[in-house]
Amino acid sequence: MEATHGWATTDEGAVAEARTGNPEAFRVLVERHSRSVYRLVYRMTQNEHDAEDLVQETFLKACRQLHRFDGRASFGTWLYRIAANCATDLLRARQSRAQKQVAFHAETEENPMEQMPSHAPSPERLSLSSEIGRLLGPAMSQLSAQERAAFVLRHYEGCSIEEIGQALKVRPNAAKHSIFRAVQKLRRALESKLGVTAGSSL
Amino acid sequence: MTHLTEDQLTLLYYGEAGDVEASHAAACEPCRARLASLAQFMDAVRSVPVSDPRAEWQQRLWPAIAPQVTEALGRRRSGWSRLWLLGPGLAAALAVVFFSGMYLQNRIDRSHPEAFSPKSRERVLLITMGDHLDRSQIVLAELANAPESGKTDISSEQQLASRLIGENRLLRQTAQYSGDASDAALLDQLERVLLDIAHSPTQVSSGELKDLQDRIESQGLLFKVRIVGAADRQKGLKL
Repeated sequence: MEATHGWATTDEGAVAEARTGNPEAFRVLVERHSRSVYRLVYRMTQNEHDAEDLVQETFLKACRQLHRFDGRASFGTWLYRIAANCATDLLRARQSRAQKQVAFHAETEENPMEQMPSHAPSPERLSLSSEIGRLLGPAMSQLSAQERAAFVLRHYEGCSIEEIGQALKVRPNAAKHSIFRAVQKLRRALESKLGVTAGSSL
Repeated sequence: MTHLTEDQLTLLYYGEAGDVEASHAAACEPCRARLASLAQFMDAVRSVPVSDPRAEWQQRLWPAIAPQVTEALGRRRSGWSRLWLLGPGLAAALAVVFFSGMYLQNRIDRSHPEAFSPKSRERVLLITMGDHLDRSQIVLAELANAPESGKTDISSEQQLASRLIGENRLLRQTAQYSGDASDAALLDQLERVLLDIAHSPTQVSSGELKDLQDRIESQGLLFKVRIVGAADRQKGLKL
């Protein structure tokens, strides 16, 4: 399909065509970006079904806000911002519900994260190549929604601190400290499981 | 010598530390070793793969969202294109209504008395008012439903608001002249909000956007504009 339309060769062309009301142009954007958006939100949620729902939500929001895309960032970066916000909202809502449950069952002294739905990916879907890979999901679940989003955007997507601040609607300094906390928490969680201490060699 | 903190090492890893930290790491063996350890950890975390989404889900994705995408894109296109088409015609109609009402009452061509009969004038006025409120409603609804983000670009809404202000003023004066107090009051309230929108910065902060949204929601303006607009247009078409 992309070969038959000039507008389909670039994101800018497809966006402009979609703005005229052509859903096929938006379909091109969905097909081009759905995998990368999936990877982003999967890394944040560590859950396949959440990731699938969030991709859908991201593209619907992007479609409704398409007139607000000003082209200063690439379409992919703009899409990542929407996806990161959708995922952050989901994680915050889930963590808030978990905290309420903990408050209600305070006497049980249970770990709040244990009351959340399992974030472990199904074994048949994900084969991790290392011990870190096996432990990463539970370790990520110990991060706040903002810490997860900031870390994933910086570490996996290579976004700048400024971009992360804009995406998460926080000041750059807050974005930077979210990354610091995420790194610290991940090292403590993973290195303790791996039998080494932060600062020493893996 | 004070060694680098873990946060400084993290910035070094991402290439965002300053020269002082970089120089220190180059000269300090313990910090260099800690940086190497951090880099090994961070690289290992980055290397954890994420599987591609399920093939069947990818096939279902577009069919699942296509109806909503089509509706959203179509609604926006029809709304804006209608605005552009109606603009000049409305201005002309308003001018006819306004001047015919205020200044030409006794100067109508006697050979065509029906041209500016009270019924004709009322019909034009009602349809014009209905269309004006319909277009205003689109601007107000766009802003009322705008998602909060760090900075929101409202330039397209501002351009339309600026164009609507002149028409609104003419309609308000016509309503006042003809003694329609309720329409005059509604148009007065609308005019103030349109002026606020037109005079806002092109990029509004989330706080400024919230202020605009509060103004739009105040005294049920958006609801009244929608209801009165639809009623006037219907009434005018029946005349």
